[in-house]
Amino acid sequence: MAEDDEPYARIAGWYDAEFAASTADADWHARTLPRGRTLVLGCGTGRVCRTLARDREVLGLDLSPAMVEEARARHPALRVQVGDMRAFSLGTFAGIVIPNAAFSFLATRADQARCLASCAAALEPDGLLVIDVPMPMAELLGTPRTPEKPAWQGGGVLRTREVRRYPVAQKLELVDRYYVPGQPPVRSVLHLRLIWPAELEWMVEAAGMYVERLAGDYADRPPVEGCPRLIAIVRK
Amino acid sequence: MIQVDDATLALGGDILLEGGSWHVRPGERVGLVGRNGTGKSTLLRAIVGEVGLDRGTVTRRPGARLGWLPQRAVSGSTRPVWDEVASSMDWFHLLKAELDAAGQAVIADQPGAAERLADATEIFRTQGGFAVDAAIGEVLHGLGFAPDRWHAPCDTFSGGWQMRIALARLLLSRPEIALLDEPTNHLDLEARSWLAAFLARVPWTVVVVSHDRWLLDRAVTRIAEIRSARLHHYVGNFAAFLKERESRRADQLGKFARQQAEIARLEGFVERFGAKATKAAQAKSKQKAIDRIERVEAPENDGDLPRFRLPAPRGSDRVAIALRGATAGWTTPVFQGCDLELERGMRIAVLGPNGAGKSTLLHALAGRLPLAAGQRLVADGLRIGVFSQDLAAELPAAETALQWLSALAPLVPPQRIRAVLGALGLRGDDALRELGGLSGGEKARVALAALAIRPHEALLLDEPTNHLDAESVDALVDALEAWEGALVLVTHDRWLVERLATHVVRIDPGSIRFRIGLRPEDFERPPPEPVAQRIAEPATDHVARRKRERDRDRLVRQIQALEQEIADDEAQMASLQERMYLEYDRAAALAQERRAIAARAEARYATWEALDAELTEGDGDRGSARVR
Repeated sequence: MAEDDEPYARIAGWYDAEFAASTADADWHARTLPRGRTLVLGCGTGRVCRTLARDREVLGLDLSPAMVEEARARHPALRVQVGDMRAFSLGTFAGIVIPNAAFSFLATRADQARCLASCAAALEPDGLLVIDVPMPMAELLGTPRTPEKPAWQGGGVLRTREVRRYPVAQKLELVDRYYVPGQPPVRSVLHLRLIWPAELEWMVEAAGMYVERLAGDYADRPPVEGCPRLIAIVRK
Repeated sequence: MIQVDDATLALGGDILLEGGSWHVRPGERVGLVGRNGTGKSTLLRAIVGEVGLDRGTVTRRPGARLGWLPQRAVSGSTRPVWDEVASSMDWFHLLKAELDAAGQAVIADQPGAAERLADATEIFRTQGGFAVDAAIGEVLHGLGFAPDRWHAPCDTFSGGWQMRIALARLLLSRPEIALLDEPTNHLDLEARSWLAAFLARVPWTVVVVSHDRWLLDRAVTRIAEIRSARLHHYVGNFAAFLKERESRRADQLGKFARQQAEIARLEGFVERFGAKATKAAQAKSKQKAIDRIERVEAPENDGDLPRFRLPAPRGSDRVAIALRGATAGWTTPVFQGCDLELERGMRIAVLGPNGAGKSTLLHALAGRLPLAAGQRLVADGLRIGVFSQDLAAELPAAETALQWLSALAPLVPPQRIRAVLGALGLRGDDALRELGGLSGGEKARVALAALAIRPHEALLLDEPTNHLDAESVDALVDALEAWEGALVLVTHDRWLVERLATHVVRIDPGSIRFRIGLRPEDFERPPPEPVAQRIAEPATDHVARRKRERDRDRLVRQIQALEQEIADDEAQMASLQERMYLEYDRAAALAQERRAIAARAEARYATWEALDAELTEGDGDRGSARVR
């Protein structure tokens, strides 16, 4: 039985309900990115776009029609469209951001290379690219499976998460289930590629850009053991 | 309450118990445990007096009321259930007779009759005589009798229900000693939960033979174990027993090892120097020392069961079996439009009343029952293992367990097959007996072993633990817990559900709900309709009287507190009055303070008056009631 091709199709509303409140990353992007025309790749329900759009022109791109629809419904003033971050041609931008692990969903080297090449082409000469992915937690890689556990509850919905880890493939499988009383649970399966700091630098350099700086969290601390994020500030 | 001294019991040449001693004190609730066939039921029957001991004595406290529930209890009555279970309540009938006699005495105007009636009424009330119908209702409801069957004749009930009738009779008879042999055997999940809670709060002496972990963990305060034909005693519930037994075994092993080392040392001395004339005397004394040593027995080897693991599931499909809009039932649809996905790593407990379709769902998932409508989707290469008691009964009679299992899994070495059988409680030569000669419980173990030696991605188990002893259940649960496949479990064993289930499918007539996690209400029957009292309480209602007394006490306390406060206020005002003369520079402030206190005292006095009036009024009420 095939998995849902579109993991966000049925959960876009809940996704926004859960994450709308978190603004640490969006605030960081707003501080870091230049004020010029900005592109958000993997914009989801428009959470990051909305913050950035306060003082700049923003375009959001997402592969999931459900998420784009949700973003349009929630923020009619935002410009968001369905599109593939591996191959886009939307003009040039002073800033490009791939927020909240969106880059980790690119499953293969080819996908990653195509995405970075598109970014390099779309970036203005003194433009800035930000890639924000979770820092792999080395100590968890020895645990093949974390069983289903409640992760979030709100609006009458319980979200649980089950995690499977494939260290050799550098992959995480996140199985989120949304339980609504009286209905069969809705499942959303995400496959995340784990990316290590040096690996990210290599990728960026292979695409003809360079990493100006790495950050380990939204307080701009450098990446250290146990830090939550791996954020690359990239120039070409 | 029960004293067993130096008891030896044999059955057909096998010694079940040798030199067992046991003292059950009043109010103790003891779980009598041990593997199948170790003589638990026989010992219970010896205590009752149904079988004699081969040696030793059993004494029960003289005159103690005994309640005895044998394993296959049948009421044999044709009376309605309600009357049948009420007929066991001798305590009630005696009290009722006295109450009626006292009432007659009052009518006949006998001397002292009023006091006699008052006493009889009070005893009847404190013993729950007025609440007897509610008590019967609670027990019948707890054991799962639907209210519309409460007055149906006993002989219209099937075997399992006969056992419940007998159990209800026993529980309502309020015995001083209750002896129960496998009381949960025919009970559903809710009734088992209820019985465990009920037994946990009775003041009687209880001895219960059971394999039900939930009952043994919740309702008993001690464990007596029959192991290797001996009785071992433990304080605490079953979980405490398992721990304590392990630590005793470790102790024993340490003592045994130390003693063996000492014996070896002494023997070495004797051997080396025994022939030497100069050392002969010493060698002789060492030999004596060896002879004098009181030998510590080696801990029994049959203590812990071997553990086993289930072969890991293969494949990467997340969803093992899915039902889409499924309608199924053997004759008429039991459920309709059911959407259910069984995923790997999920351990689903199917809960719901009997007859709601738990087994039907299991068979529909297994593909053994074709769907009347809807779809059943199965992952590629999925291997489903199914267990149910009726499948276990169909094993080929002429083969031995080992032959049959080896043929099923030719690549699995016989040692492993025997280890799995051993872990499930089928030891030694039992593996070489023909399946036809095995008991139902033993066949069930073989069928479970068949699931444990071959890899599966999904296991669908219908009452897997029914005939297993507590230790085999432990081994099975450990194996299932460590296994990553998809599990569906239909069971009445609450402990099993609590240990294993990650998700619940709740089947009620007309609805199937799926959710994550367990809730306490999954194990409890919804509360019954209140039972109408047939014997009305007398007009001086006990509860109302207590309330009136409490109200009066509260009023008196409030009045006393107020009187104290008013006295304090007056003392303060007197003191301020004095200070106004001495501290004339602050006289204005002090006067203001005094006025404030005077106002407060005035308000308190008003309250006091109101409360006092209320108190007098209440007393007047009671006075007039007395006159009437």
